[in-house]
Order: sequence, then structure tokens, then C-alpha cells
Amino acid sequence: MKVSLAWVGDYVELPVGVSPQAMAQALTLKTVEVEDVVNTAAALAGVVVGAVESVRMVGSRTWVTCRTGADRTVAMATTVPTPAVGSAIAVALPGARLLNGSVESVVAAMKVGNRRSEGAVGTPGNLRLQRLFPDADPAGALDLSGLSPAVGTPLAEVIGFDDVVLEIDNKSLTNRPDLWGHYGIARELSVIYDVPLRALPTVVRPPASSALVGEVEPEVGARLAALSFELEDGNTVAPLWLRSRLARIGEATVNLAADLTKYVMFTVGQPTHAYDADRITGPLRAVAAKSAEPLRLLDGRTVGVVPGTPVIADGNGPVALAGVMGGAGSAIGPATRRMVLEAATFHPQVVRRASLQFGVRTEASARFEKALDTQRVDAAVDLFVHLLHEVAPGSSVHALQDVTLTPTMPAPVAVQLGFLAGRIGTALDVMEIEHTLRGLGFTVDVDGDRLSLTAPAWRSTGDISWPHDIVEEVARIHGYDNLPVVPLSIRLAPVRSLGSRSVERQVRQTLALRLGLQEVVTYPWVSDASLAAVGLGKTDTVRFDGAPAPDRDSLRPSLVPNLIEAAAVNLRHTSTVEIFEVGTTFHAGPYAAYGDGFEPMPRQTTRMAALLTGPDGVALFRRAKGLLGQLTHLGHLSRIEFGDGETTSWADVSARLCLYSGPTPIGTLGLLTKRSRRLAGLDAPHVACLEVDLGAVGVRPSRDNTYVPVPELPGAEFDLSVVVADNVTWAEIASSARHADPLVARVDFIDEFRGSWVRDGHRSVTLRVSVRSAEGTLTGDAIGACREAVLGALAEETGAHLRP
Amino acid sequence: MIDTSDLLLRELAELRTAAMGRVASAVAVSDVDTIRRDMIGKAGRVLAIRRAIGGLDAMARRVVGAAVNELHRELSQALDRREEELLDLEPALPHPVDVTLPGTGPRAGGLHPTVQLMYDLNDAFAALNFEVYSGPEISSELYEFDYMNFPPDHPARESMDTFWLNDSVARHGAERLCLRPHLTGASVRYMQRHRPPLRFVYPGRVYRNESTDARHERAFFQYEVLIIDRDVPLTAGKFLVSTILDTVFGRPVRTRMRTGFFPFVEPGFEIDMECQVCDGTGCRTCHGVGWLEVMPGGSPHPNVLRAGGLDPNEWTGFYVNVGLDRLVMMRYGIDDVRLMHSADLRFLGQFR
Repeated sequence: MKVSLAWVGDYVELPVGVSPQAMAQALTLKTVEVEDVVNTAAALAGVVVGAVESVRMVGSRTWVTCRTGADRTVAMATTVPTPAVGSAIAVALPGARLLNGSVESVVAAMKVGNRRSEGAVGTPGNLRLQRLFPDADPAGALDLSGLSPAVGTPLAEVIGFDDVVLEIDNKSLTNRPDLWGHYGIARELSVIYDVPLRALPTVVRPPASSALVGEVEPEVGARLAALSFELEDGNTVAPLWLRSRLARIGEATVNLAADLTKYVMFTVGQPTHAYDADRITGPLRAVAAKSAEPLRLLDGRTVGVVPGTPVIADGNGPVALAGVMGGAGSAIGPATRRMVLEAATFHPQVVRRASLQFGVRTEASARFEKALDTQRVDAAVDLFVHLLHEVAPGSSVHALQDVTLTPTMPAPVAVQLGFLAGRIGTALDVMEIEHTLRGLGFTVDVDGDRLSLTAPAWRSTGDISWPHDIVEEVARIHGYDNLPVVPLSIRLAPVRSLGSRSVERQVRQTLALRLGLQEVVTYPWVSDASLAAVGLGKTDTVRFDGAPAPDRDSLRPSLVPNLIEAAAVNLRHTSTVEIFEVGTTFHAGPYAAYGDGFEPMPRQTTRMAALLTGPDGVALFRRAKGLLGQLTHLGHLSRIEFGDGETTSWADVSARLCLYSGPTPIGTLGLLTKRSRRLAGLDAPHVACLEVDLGAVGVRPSRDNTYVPVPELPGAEFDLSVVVADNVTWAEIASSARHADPLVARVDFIDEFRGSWVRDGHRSVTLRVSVRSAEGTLTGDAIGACREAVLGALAEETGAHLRP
Repeated sequence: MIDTSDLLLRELAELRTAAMGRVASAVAVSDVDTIRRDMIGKAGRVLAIRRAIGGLDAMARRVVGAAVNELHRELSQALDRREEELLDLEPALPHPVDVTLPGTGPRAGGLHPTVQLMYDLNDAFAALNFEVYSGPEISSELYEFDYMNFPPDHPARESMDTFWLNDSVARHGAERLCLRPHLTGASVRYMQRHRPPLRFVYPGRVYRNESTDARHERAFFQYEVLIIDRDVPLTAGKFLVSTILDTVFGRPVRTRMRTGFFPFVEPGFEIDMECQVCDGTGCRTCHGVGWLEVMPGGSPHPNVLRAGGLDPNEWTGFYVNVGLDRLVMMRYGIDDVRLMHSADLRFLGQFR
């Protein structure tokens, strides 16, 4: 909403010496957010009134000479049709900014032919004033003669644009229906700066009528007033000052009656509508439509009214969408003289629903949706009549009919001073509290520690209802920034043990900070193509409305598809990818109550997935497996065991493991199948993935490292390379060697090799055996005996033989 | 006739001259080792003389013995000294290392910058005794709107703002499910399961049905803090906000509280921070006003407290909610929020 400070100045004496920026700042801190402060004269800088002294053709050009001061004339070459000598026009001097088409250009003095052109002729178009002068030729010289301005006067002054407009964020006004007009803002400024607020005009009401208003259905509204009036011939244009104010806040001007209704709305926040009295029959009714029929609106759109649609109807049917927009059939035109003004209070939900249903949002519907009080109709009718008499003295007001079903009841609130002090954090002076609340329109009755308040009607439609609302009123006007910060008392609670740390955090930090993987965050939705790449389809997913793309309306049932997509994108500019993600996955299937509650929901789990790329499949698989072991060890997590079992379809048959927590399968580790790699467009020789459900993983209650006495005697180690059949696993080899001799303390895998000299179906495995004796120093003979024992056991139990 | 002892003494003198000469001309530690072996080693010439004095008389034995010991001591010292001199001259590497070669270290990974900040804040609030909590990402209209005091016809309930599950059409309350549009619904879940006073944080990702550009995302992280106690003054919010901003920027940041409106708070606030680009003097980032809107907050609305099972006449509180991605962007000067979900390693790798 735009607010003109000149307009606000009608109702409050704005303090001298306070800049518009400071006022905007004060409003922002205490009332509503001001987004911008616009000096409306700035756009017209350098444009002054000039009296046309001569108009001559020189060659193909028109030269206009204007007097712009007592001893100053300006000669201009122009193509603009120019009024007669003696008329007053707008002259744009060098430096002024004009609009040429859609491009802004700066006027400069220049040589045209052999003469100097020292300015440009202002038009409604190039001065951006078409809204203010809708009837003037947008490309013709702006004729100001009717205003009799003094030559040299800045144009902004002549047309009232020496003003500042505050642009207020409408979002910050949603709970304040009283602020949707200049008067409401004036009231706030009067309280903020502690200056008096001038009353709105009241008028002697015209005679009462019973022919203007018919039925008012309580479901539609609480009040409907109608005023009949008549304009005199020849006065159908609002005066410049009024049109100028509307133009400054960005409103187009139409005709006298329509401009007056707008002016009233932007002053008191109450929408009204003027009907052509000769185009409606019988009294106006505020009702829900009884039958379906088309209704053509003022803006030319036709909406299909259905039974229940809130309308204003006359004897023949709907003439307006109640609270939203008038109908074209009853609209006033240039020739309209006899009119009926409707001023009503519609229910906010009713207007909101109609506005949504037909997709028509207007300044009127925006205000009704915020819940207006019925009393505001009085302010609107009085202001309308007052202005009508002022700007069109020849007009006459005939009659008024007013039907009020349920007037807005001012809300009573009782509040204790102690409560205010506790919530605000400091005890404010009771005089200050009283003064603030009275300024805002409350009635205040102080009785010891107790304040008995009545909110004004304009704050009683839901905005103010209980003591917490009074806290806000008092504190905001005092200024939140002026409140002292009170330190909070700290309550001691049991310290957090290792076990209460978050598994997610342990996993993330261990993977990223100790194991060298990069965390990524991907969307919770997943593309159909990525799902297909891992062998999943839409039947496996929870789906949602409003998806960013039609093929991304599935919530991810696994983290792997998005990791694969991320890897494919990154592999375009890097050779290897090692990433992980921790996040929620969503599972199709029957809903179950969430937690210990009662909402039926899809199952949601927190998972960790990692993806590694590389040239060597075996090495990659081993790194992925090692990562998981390191993760649980360094992260102090509960054990994750490896085993056979059902795995996911992305895990290749040649390299995969099922992951377990105790007997429960919790994930998969493996190389991606060739099919998955192809479908995902992954340009890497090998890709390893692992995914774990973290719900089954816990943080150990304490550290699980164990102490073994440090050996006093030196140990020894020897390597063995043995040839063994492919069906013998490393685990079998290690176990055999480990138990072959009491001296064997440890067996480590070094390497494996397949080559031309190794028989088919076999491989060469190198292992390192560490030996240690508790009894005495190891002798060469003892080590040799141990080596023979290991080889013997390997041969007997695994068929392995020392590599020749 | 020349006395044997004289001969031995003369031999010792010659040996000394020769040995000292060799020591002086040694050019490597290995030379020193050789001289040591030749002279004072077990088979060395000095010890050979010592063995030869066995046949002398006691007097001569004492004289020659003393001379042998003296030479042994003198040679030892000279050898040690020369060895140290040579060690000082000899570099560890035959060729000096190119010290501009990059250092090596373990493979570098990293956390997502938003997650990093989330954990930084968790640590800061843990020090103030706040619990960390998280609610479900799929939640219900009951928790996200009804309990949050949103009027039944509030626009945020429409699909234009919220992602509803596609089997939720025509359902209501606990049965109408959505991707959570904010974190605040989780606060009621926590209130319902814990006894006040409460202080907890509940970071997480939320979802809005919006078109995306450099400043808007459909999925973004928020960080929310709630404190519930018997008398929580409005100014408690300032304290919570300072905790957040000090953690993010590592220094105190000026803030201001102004009035704001959200259905779930009464009163509600917008909390602005001084623009860190221009230090509050006004620039493009802050649209010339010197302040940036960073977080809404306020006291839980009595209806919200009631939904959480708390008596609004007994308990008060303060919420602070901050857009985590937005703070990360300010922390690092990131100009496009869409990078956060891009999984682009060229971006993420900058925050290790």
C-alpha cells in the first residue's frame, strides 16, 4: 500500500524536522514495514511551467520559445503538437528525465540546425502523468493554462507532486484492517510522535429512505447502507488535487463519482461502490445467489455466479460480486447523473472465498478479507458526502437507508500491570501505558493494578481480544529497542553423555572430517529416470501434488538415486567422486501412526548413503567396506555386521553385502550394476554405493576401546604368498593361519594376484603373519617352526600352497 | 741403549701426530669412524701399545700407562669434535628439497555448509542447555496449521504454498499430510511430550511450493529455537538472536526488533540485523536501509501453548526462527541459494 505524507498531513500535524526516512523507520519499528520512501517530485525534477511566446516553423522543425522566468526564455525544437501562444505548458530543462517510449532519457541542450535547443516540451506521456490527465493527448503538450500557474514554477508543485510516498509491505498489514487507509496510518503517527489526531468529518445525514436497501442475509454481511445522490450537469471530473493524490499512490482516475469512492477507501479503508441509479431496479440486497447465471464485471470479465455466491442484487438479479467488484450492467458512465452509493460490511471469509473462486482480487476484496468493523461505514458515508459537497457544490444528496444486523462490538480486555511488566521485561510507567492506549483509541479505566480496557471498533474484529495483545500495543509504541535485555536464568540439567549424541551428527562428521568424503544435500524428491536406474518405480514411492516437474513427484524411497544423479553431474568436471548424504527417506505402503501419536503417516526413516567412483572395482568395494568399519569404529556407533541376504537391485551380484544390526537387515553395500550405471549415465568404470538405515544404529554409551598390556618383548613378522583356489575366502585363510600356532598374534591381508603363472580358478594371496611370545625372546628356530606350522595348516585346511 | 719405555713414549708421540693429522683431514663421518677403529678401537694401535707395557717395570708402566690414557682421551675428544663438525657440514638430503612443493595430508572431505552452521548453532545452544529435537518431514495439517493457529481459510493452506501428499485431497486435520512448510509444528510435538520449563532447538528442512530463483528455493533449511518458562520477557528474543548471530559471524552483530505478524505468535516480531555488506550505511543488498530481515519470532500464541498442553496463564515463551541457508549465504557471500541443493563439488569443496 502506498501512503502519501501530504494526505496523512490532513489528519495529523507531522512533526517539523523529522525526515520522511525517519518517519518510515519509526513506522517500520513500531507499526508496519515501510519498504520504500519515494519523493514524487524527483521524477519531475527540472520540469517547470513555461508561457509559450512563439511557435515558428524553421525548415521542417517546429521551434517553440517559452518564457520560464522574469528574464529567461527557452527555445526548443520539437515535434510535439503545441498549444497556442500565450498558453502555459510544461518545459523540461536540461537534466530533466523524460520517458521516450519505454526508455528514459535525460534532456540535454544541443544544436539543432544552426540554433541551440535548450529543452523539451513536456507531454502527459513523457512526464508519466497519463493517470493524472487521462483525457489529455498523451503525445501533446501538457496544457496547464487552466491552473494559471506562475511561469518558472516547478511542475511538481503545480500538480501537487511535491510529496513523499511511503510504500508499505502489505504482508505486514494482514492483521491490521485499520491501517488500510491513510487515516489509520495518521493515527499511528499521532501516537508515535505524540501529536494530536484530527477527527474525520461528520455531516448532517440526508433523510432516511426505505426504498434503497432490501434484504441483508446474515451469512453475507453485517451491514448494508445505500445513499442516493445526484451530480449536476457538466461536473464529471474530480478536481486536480484529488486526482493528484490518487495518481501519487498509483491509482488511475476515472470520473468524479468513481474517484470519490476510491478516495474514501484510501482514506478510511472502507470500500464503497457507486451504481447508476437508472440501471438498477428496486432496492439493493446483500444475498447469496439463488441460481447460476453469468455476471459481467466492471473490468469486462464475465464470471459464472453459482448458488451461494455472495452478491449485491437488485430486483432483476446480481449487480455486483459482493465485496469484490461491481457489475458492468450497473456501472456509472460519463453521462450518469443519478447514482446510489453502496457502503457495506461483508464477512471476510465470504469475500475471500468469492475472490479465490473467481480469481478476482481487488483493493476492495483485500480490505474486506481483513475483517472491517461495521462502524467504518459511517466514516465512509460521512466522508463521501463531505467531499461531494466540497468538490461538486451543485450536487445533491437525496436519501440514505442503513440496515445493520450486528454492529461490531468493541472488545473489552482486562489486564494487570504486573502481567504487562512480566511479559515486557520491565515495568513501564502507568501514565505512559494509559496515554499510548488512549491514543490508539482504547478507553482506559485504571483501578489499582488492573486496567479495564475497551478496544476501539476498528481493532475489535479479531485483532485485539486478550491481554497478550495489550502487551504488544504498549511495548511496540514504547519501542522494542528501548527495552532492557534481561538475562535468562539457567537451570542445570543432567550432562549429555556420549550415548545421547546424535547418530546423524556422528555419521556426518566422521565421514566428512575423518574419512574424507564430501557431504551433499539433495532434494527429497526424485526423478522417475533416477528411480528406474536403481530398479524402482512410482509404485514404490509416496507422491505429492505441486511437484517441481511432472517426473519428480515422488518422494525418495532411497538416497541412492539422487546420489547417482549428483555423481553423474559432477563426473562431467571431475575424475572421481566420493560423496555421502544423510537424510529422510519416505516409504510407500500402509500408513502407521507417527511416533507415539495418532497421525497416520507414511514410514519415514533417516538414512545414510555414500557413493565412490574409481577404476578398480575390488579396491573400490574394499574402500566402501572399510569406510563402514571405520565409520562405526571412529564414530563410536553400534556394530554393523556384514552378511549374505536380500540386497537391492542396484547392487551387482559379483560384489555386494547385506548390512545387519544384530539380526535385522539395515542396508546394502556393493558395486553398482552395469545396467544402473548405463541408465544413470554414469561415466565411471566402477561405482560403489552403500546405504544404511540409521534408525537401527545407535551411539555407544561410552567409548569401546580396550586396553591390552604393552608387550615387553619384541615380536616378529613374516610374509607368505600362497596359491589358493578361488572358492577359498580370505576369511578362511586368515582363520586357518591365525589358529595354526600359539605364537601367531595377528594375520593381515597384503595383496592378491591373478596372472599367467597362476593356475585357472586360483589366485596368489600374500598374507603377513605377526608372531609374539609371552615367555621369552623369539629365536630364529621358533619363528621358522611357526612358519612351517602356518603353511601346514593352510595346506591342510584350505589347500593353499606356497607360491613357487 | 734406549729404554723400552722411551721407545714406547716416542711411538706414542708419533702416533699422536699422525692421528691428529688424520683427524684434521677427515672429510666424512666414515673417515672419522675409520680413524677411531684404527687408533682407539679394540684392535687399534693405541691399545696395542697399552698391551706392550705389560713387560715394563712398575715405574715405567705408570709413566707410559698415563701417556697411553692421555692419548686415548685426547684422540677420543678430537674424534668426537671432528665428527660433530662433519655432521654439521653434511645435509640430511643430498639435494635440498623444493620447499614450495605442496604439503601432503589425509584425503579432504567436508560437511555441507548449511549442516556446518547447524552444528555450530547446536553447540552454541547446547552450552545454554538447549536440547536438540527433530520432527517428521511429512507432517499433518493438524500440527502445521490447526495447532499453529492458522485460520481455516489461511492462504498458506492452499496448495499454492504447501506441498500436499496426493492422497490427502479432501482430508483434513491429522489425515491431511504435507511436506512440512515450517518447523514450528514440531514445537507442539515437543511440548506435548515434555514437561516445562523447556528450552530446545529443532533445525531441519522445510518445503514451500514456490518458483525458484537466486533468492528462492522450494526446499530450504530453518533453525528454530523455543524457550518456555514462567516469565519469559519479550527481550529474551534478543538474547537468542544474539546467540545465533554471534555464532554465525564470530562477532556481535547489531539487531533490532520490530513488530511483525504471524498466526502462531502474539506478539510477533521481525528481527533485523545490521547489513554486514555495508555495516549499516545502506547498500544494494539491504536496499539502502542498512538492515536485513533475518528472522521472525515472538511469544507462542495462547492457542499454540494450549495445543502443546500448556496453560497460557502459567507459561510464556519465545520463538526465534531463522533461515539457515540465508545466514550461510551471508556468512560466505554466496549469491545463489540454488547452489545449496546442487550437490556441485566445485561449490561444496569451498567450505572444508
